[in-house]
Amino acid sequence: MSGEAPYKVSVIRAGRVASSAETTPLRGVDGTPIAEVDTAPPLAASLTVSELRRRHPLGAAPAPDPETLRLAGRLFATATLGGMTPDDYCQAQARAGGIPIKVARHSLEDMAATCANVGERVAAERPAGTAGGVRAGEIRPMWLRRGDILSVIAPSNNPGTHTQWVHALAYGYQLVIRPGTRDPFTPSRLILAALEAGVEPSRLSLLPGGHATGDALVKASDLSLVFGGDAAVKRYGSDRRVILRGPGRSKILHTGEITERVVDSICDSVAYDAGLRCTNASAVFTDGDPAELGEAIARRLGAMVAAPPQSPDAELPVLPVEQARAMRAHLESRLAGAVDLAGARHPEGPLADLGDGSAALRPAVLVCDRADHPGGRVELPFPCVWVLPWSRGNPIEPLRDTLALSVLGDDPGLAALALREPSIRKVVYGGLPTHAAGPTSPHDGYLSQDLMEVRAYGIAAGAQTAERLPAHAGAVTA
Amino acid sequence: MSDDFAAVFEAPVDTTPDLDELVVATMTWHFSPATGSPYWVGRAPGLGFDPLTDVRTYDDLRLFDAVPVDWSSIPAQTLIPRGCAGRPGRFGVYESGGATGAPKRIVDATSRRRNIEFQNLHLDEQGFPTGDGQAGWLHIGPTGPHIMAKNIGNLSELRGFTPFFVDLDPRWVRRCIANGREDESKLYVDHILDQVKDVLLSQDIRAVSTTPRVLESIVARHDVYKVLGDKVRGVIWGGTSMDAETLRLLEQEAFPEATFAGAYGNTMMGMAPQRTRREGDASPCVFRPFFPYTVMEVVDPVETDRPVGVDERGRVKITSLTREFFMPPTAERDMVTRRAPAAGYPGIEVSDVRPAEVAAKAVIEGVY
Repeated sequence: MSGEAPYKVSVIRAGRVASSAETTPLRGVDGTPIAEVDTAPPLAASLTVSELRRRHPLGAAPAPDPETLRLAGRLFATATLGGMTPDDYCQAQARAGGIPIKVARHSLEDMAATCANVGERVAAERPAGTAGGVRAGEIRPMWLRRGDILSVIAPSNNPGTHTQWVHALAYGYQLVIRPGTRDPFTPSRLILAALEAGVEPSRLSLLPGGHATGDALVKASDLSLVFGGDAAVKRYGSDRRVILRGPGRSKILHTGEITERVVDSICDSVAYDAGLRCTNASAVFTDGDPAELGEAIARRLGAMVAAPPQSPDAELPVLPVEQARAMRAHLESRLAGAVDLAGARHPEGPLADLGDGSAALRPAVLVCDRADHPGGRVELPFPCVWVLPWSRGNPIEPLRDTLALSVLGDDPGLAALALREPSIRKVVYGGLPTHAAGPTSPHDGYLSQDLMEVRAYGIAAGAQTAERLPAHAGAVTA
Repeated sequence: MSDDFAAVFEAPVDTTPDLDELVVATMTWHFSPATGSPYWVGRAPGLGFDPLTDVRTYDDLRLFDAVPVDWSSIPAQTLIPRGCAGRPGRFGVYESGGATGAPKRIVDATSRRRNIEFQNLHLDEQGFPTGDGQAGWLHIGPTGPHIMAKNIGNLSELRGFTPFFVDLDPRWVRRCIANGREDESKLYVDHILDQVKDVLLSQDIRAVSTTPRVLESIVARHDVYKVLGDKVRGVIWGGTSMDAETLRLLEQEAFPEATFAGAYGNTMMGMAPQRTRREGDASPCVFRPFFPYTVMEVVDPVETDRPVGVDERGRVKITSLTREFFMPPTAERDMVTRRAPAAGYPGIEVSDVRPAEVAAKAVIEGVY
């Protein structure tokens, strides 16, 4: 538990690497020091945002072009940034978060792909009528920013969450990121990559800190993208300037036979990236026998490997032993009669003690006897899935409030029915896992639905026109 | 008006009387029927020891460990020593913020002014501005039943300022937060800042005393921040703790034209001003209690009779020894780091004040 932390994560203010008189040690789940993280108090949030406003540094500079962002993504995947090679980054991210290192490894390329795809994505999100610009003699829609400064209250569960704010750069926002406690590494790396790629410095700030810093940032910014659970929904739910990414509660609807392919899709949906994504399924509704389906899932998930997160074999999330016990105890308190067919039956129990002060959370497969069992809404940060009965008599109600729904079976009509339910944010059909996404498919709506809007601009025929609209007006040009 | 005890009770504030002599004087004054308060004289027979003969040194005050005192329920007038009748100053009753239950009450006429004179010596040393009889001093903080308004009245007078006040009711803020009414506490803060702006726009304010949270809120309110930043040359902060980075940002970035001075205090302990910075200080803000009138110890949070070592963290334990008020050693809620006193100062010094940590963290559902 002693020794120097090998890395330092610095505060970044308007593109400048700064230091702080307060630092927080970040330890791995096994207690070894990983990094000294500079702490930005709430005052740093207010001062940073007011500096961004005071300097109006954007001037007429356009938003970073797709090629700059492509380069940023490439640097994220390959360069040494802030003294960390890609492998250093993966090690630190895995050990601090207790997340299997294969997640960080594939995230390098995922991030590069997201950044390379920004141009295509912005084009897809743009309302078609705004593409042409406005000439003299026309009154037309413009696609404009709703603000200038976007804060991001980021989580630590998966590096992939940080792919979501890259597009805000393309829309011309100045970003201030409050990283999650256990993963300051991913946003720090992405910001350093973007700066090195040539993104105008005032567009990028990193302020590690606690809830109070997040609150101050949300208060000061024009708009905020906030990741969080029910507590965040309660805290910010009524603030119209807050874009909430709340609990995923992703689900599977299964009808028909229990085939190997069905079990494959379910287990992939539940356990991909160690079950830590908001698009991992946390509930399966079936018109078959929940116990029989649960047994099949439990057999498959039971083979997942418990190992320290930095091990290439690791497949399960790891926590300090006490936290792992608390997590499991919390699950027990929520069972309400459901029976765990996986972890609880494991010969060594539901926690795999790794002998270094940490423990891996073995999967839980919880069979319920009714569709409205409260477990259907319980989402926990490890492969934990509730299997519940479903019937055509009440098809949609149990499926509401779902980030990603995979409809398994041979009834495309059910998928079409689910698509009509607005609280189901993505439907995939025919065996795709819940985490599957297309290059331009929305995650939870398009971010541009909240960051951008159309406003009208008219120019009289024969009027002198400016060379270009001032960039702070937020026009995204075609 | 001097008597046998004036040499210890009213010694010049830049000198330090002997602690044990002060203890004996305090016992004699507060427990003698002719001079003592009805409260302490009344309790004397039930103490199980005789304060007049058994308490000769500071260490002997441990005898009071077995004497519970409920400062929130004592009729306040009974705390006024009979011997103070006819002495200068008028007694007032002052209440704590009530962070740890019902408000506690103390009485004071002139003792706390001596504490403020002690604070003022430090401000002189630190180059804190003076008002030259012209400028205004704005206090944004507790007034009403709290002693802060009196302290600021004294301090601003000593420094040649005219005091202005915007009241902040700490009990209301605490109630809003305890009830999860953050919207209401935000509304309240804005209400306060509107009043601050009003004073700043029309008055020549050059010094401010307030809490770190209010300073943060001001920086977050551009309209108030701009006018305060232009005017203020001295800031006293206190009431709650502040981390080193917030202090650095306030001093160097938010109000670079102002001299900052911290003040750690509360109703029961009086005011411990920031000790002037010295090369090699382990903390940017070290507080110096007004020894020996306020004796601060830093003790183990659980075993409160075991002092912690220098540079270790512990809970504060306060003893108040003045002509007007006696409080036996009492463990308070704050956690601090004990520091070695600078330049032979006879009392201890402390830094990094935080309210006692509360533990227990529930599991939060979800993947974030």
